[in-house]
Amino acid sequence: MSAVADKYQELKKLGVEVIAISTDSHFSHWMFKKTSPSVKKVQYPLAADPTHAVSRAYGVYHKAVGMNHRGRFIINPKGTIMAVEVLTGPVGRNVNELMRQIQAMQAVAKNPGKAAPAGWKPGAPMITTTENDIGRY
Amino acid sequence: MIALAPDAFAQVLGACGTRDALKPAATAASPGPAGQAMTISRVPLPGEQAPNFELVAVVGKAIKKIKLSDYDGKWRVVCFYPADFTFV
Repeated sequence: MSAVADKYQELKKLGVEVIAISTDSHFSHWMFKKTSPSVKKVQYPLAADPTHAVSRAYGVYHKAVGMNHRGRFIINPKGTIMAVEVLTGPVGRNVNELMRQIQAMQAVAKNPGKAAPAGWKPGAPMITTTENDIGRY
Repeated sequence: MIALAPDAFAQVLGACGTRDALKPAATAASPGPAGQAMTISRVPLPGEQAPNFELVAVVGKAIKKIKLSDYDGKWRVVCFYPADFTFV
């Protein structure tokens, strides 16, 4: 979460909004933000889902534990889910990979008919996807 | 009935979830308060509409309701995490 906070300005530049959700109450979120040095700087919303309704709707609620898996959804401007990652609790996420995926999705959206191949990074060439390209890559 | 991995708690919480004292009281065999909805949807996949929601959130130094649809027209990242005061 603080890793995302560190990159928040870069995410903003990409036109990305972040929402973090746990099953804690907003009271807990408030104190978490007030007391945790790494979370103090978080500018994006920390949303409370004490009824678990939203966590269930996204399939990430772990009912044996009453908490969520580390689920991450990239959603495009039209509200369509573009990528899903669900991680086991003890393993953290990688914000750089998150940003790379969003940049690749934005590049694909801007260049109809083109694709961002494996390991694509901003500035690298995109590939075409015509019949002539079948089997080329 | 879903079979639970014995280390389900540890999988979500990490090392601190392995302590016996922290094992969940409710299990799939004794599912907690009656009447509590226990339906869990599958994870929505790429190409599907993201479920909209309205939740109370801490935003900066304010507490307010936010909706996913408040940010229509923008790219969004929705991150779920186990609990406050764990690494996030």
